[in-house]
Amino acid sequence: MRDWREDVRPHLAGLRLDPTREAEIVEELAQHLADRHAAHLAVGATAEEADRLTRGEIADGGALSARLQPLRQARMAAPLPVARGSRWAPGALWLDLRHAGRSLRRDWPFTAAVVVALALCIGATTAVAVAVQALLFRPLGFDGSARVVNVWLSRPIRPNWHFRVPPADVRTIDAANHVFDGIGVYDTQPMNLTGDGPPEELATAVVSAGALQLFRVDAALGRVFTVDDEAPGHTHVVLLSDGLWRRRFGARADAVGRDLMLDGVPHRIVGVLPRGFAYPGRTDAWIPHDRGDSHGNAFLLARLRPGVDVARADAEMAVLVAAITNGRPNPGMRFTVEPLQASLTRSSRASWLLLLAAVVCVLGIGCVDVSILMLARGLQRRRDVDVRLALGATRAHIVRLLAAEGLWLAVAGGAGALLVAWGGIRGLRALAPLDTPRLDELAATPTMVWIALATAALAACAFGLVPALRGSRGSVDATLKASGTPAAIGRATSRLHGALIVLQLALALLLLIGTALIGRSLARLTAVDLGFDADRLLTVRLNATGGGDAGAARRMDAALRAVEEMRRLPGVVGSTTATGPLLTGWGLPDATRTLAQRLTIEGAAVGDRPEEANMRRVEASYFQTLGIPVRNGRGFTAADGVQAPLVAVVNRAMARALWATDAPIGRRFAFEHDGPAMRWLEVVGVVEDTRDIAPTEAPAPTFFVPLLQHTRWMEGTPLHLYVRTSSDPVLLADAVRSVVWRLDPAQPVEVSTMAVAVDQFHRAPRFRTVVLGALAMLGLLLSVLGTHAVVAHAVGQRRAEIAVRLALGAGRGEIVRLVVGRALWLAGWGGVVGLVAAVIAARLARGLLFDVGPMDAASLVAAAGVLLLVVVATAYPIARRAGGLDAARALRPEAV
Amino acid sequence: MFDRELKKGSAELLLLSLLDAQPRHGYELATLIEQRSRGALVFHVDSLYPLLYRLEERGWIAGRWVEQAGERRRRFYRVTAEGRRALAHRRSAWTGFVEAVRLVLGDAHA
Repeated sequence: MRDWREDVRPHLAGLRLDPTREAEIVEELAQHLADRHAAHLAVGATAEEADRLTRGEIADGGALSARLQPLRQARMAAPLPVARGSRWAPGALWLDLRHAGRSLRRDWPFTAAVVVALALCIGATTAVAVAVQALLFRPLGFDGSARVVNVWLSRPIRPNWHFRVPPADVRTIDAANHVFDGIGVYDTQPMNLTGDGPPEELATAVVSAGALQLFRVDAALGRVFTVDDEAPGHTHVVLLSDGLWRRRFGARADAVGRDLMLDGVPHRIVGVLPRGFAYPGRTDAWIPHDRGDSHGNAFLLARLRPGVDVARADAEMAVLVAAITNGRPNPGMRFTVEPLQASLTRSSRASWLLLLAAVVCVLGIGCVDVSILMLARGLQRRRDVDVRLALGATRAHIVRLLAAEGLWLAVAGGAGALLVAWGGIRGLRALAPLDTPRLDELAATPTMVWIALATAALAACAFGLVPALRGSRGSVDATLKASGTPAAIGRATSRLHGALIVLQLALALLLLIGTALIGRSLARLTAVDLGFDADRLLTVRLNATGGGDAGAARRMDAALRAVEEMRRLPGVVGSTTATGPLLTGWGLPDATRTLAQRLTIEGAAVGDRPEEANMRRVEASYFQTLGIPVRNGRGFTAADGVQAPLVAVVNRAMARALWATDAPIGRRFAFEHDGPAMRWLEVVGVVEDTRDIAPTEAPAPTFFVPLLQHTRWMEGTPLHLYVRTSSDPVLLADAVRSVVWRLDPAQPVEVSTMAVAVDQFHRAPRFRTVVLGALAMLGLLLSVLGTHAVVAHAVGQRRAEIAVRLALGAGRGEIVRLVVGRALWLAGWGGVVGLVAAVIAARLARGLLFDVGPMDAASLVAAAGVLLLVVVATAYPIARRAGGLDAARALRPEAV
Repeated sequence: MFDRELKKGSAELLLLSLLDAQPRHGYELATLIEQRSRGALVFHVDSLYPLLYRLEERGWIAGRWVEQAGERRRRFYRVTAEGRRALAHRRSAWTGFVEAVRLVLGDAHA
């Protein structure tokens, strides 16, 4: 009888059969062919005919191979190399790695999904973690940065506001405390640098010599300040930052000894501070604090003694307040000690922590993805592992092989994560608001590489090895015999999958809700009614101060003449001037000068709670130029001059707070700082509320008085000009500047637009929205991956059921409903968990929300809607495919 | 003539029910199907064995080499307990399907 084995063998060539199994198949099929051949001969076929007919049993073109391909036995990995005695030899490890690499390549959709999930979530996490570490937690660039603290003064008038400390109090604290190694004072002010090169505004710190000593900083070039530099009337001196020195002097050593024109005054350069030193704020230059300045209130810095912590210093300051306020009417004043690092990062901390929390959600979502994929693969691998064990592989072999797979995934995922992190950090730097503290210190670092690789390795090992160990523990015999029980394992996996996907969708919903809330906050913020028209409005800050009452009077006169001249410029619709800046936040020193004035209300009972309101001194056309509507009575006119009766215009908030009416015309009040003799002001008009400090600050009770009627305390108060233009205000900047300089050549001016001032309040929320939105999109994308895997797996598990349903007449729609319904059921649970988590989280992040409650229904509904939509869109195609079989095909449940 | 898809769909059912009666080897299965269907259903090697191996992988049938005196060894397949359950399931689904089709066709004639 003819041997047909050689006819069969080529048809199996493309398969990865175990050699023993291959021999069996060859034998079995050859036997069949031999029987068939004999049968053909028996019914009278010629030898050639019988040969031809028999060969026809296996069609050419690889049909047999194609049909065997889907079988597990045809995808067997080559037998494990047995490396006895040298189990951990490099050669054996290399073999394992090659082997694992091949196996991952073969299962490339799985590999790609895991690597992409790892790269995205670990990369994003690394980028934000590096940013948070650099911006919030990395020690400041000087010796003992944790010991330098701000000692903030607050008063009950404005508990959240930091007041400058009077020199007398500084002396008391210096003499009486037991907790500080030294104290110093500082203030910050922008100064105009002119002279060689383009003029620029420098961030200047006014510091005492003691303050610089707190930082234990020495000059890189020249010297630092001495006590002599603080003496009244001493030569003006300045210290440069490394950056300014390089920028303006090309890092030349002979810069020391030259003069720098600051606000039009020459300052002798005495030294350059080391690179990386820019404290107490972001500082370009330092000038000495003038001890002779009686108004020289300043912020207080101190260095904690070794062994003294912030709490103890706080307690000591509480005791010292008694000594400080002794005999002076300052009830309720309070000092708080805060590490400098915390003070510097306070403004951006909440934002970054929010992003960190968001990225942890993304990491969670990615980990769930990897778990789901690994579980599904583990299910496939279980038999594979058991067969290997049966074939004589040791447990160690299996673990090594799976660990090698984990290693590949970790390396690929980690490398991807590094790319993502690198891009992420660049993106964060580019997007972050420029005033983010320490932003210039943010860069990709070697630490980042370690964070990314370690996280990836940890993830891949955890997800690779745990199923491996679980798999290798299983009884070989049991699995082989119970080869019909993958269904049972599958059901268990389905349950685990369900729990994981609920977790994942909950996290995704959390991110979506966060984005919706933050995004709506931004929308509310940009839509906020400022109460005045910020369009086409040029702002000019006249920086010069000092010179006593004569200087102030001269400057005011020049400003009023400038206002007149500007009105005549082509393209100018109106112009005015006032004290107190608009929309500069709490940053500018003169923002505080409009602060609460104590009022006496005519006719109010003595002993009533003292009323407070902000004051602005304005030129007559202020309301008209800024577009602030007058609601009752009148605005100011040129007639409200020095000789005229004293008048005031109040905003609606003040009218309601003080007189509980919208029209308190004719009522009278006086304010504390007007002078020793009480002067009554008569209310002649009520204007609409405006948001003067920031769009986020609710309008405060405010009254306006004619500039000419109130010239007291003008010496230290810069004036602001507002110019309304008919087209782009920037075009008029030069013309406006030259008007000011023609009238007062020594006046440094800061020209900007109100649009820029408004925008600065949008930058941080916009950054938060954009980054959070990107993270939410990433989370959603990764959830799609997980949802797809889970739904596809569930459909695979339920194929038999689906087949029967189809056979029994179920329509395609019914199957689609079945599959999508299951996905929605899981999404529903995820939604419930996510909503609960979001409600809790939103409460914590309340400080970042503007005009949107943490339970904002529209945000919650929109986020949940997006999530459900995405789940349906993911599940629907799978469901359609499952329901798209015709009844006959469906009777072969695994035939898809 | 049977629709090709229909034939493929029912192939597993055919194999299971033939093996349910007694263990058989592949050649015997092929011959039996061909004879009993009077030549309407023909299984070639390249479709029969992949099907058998799949059923075996699924755990519904189990193959075993059996040697008989004077003959080369042959691989006999028998239905497992799991396979028997699957068969019962399939049979009722099939019967239901055929009945449903019959009803529809019957209605059409009525």
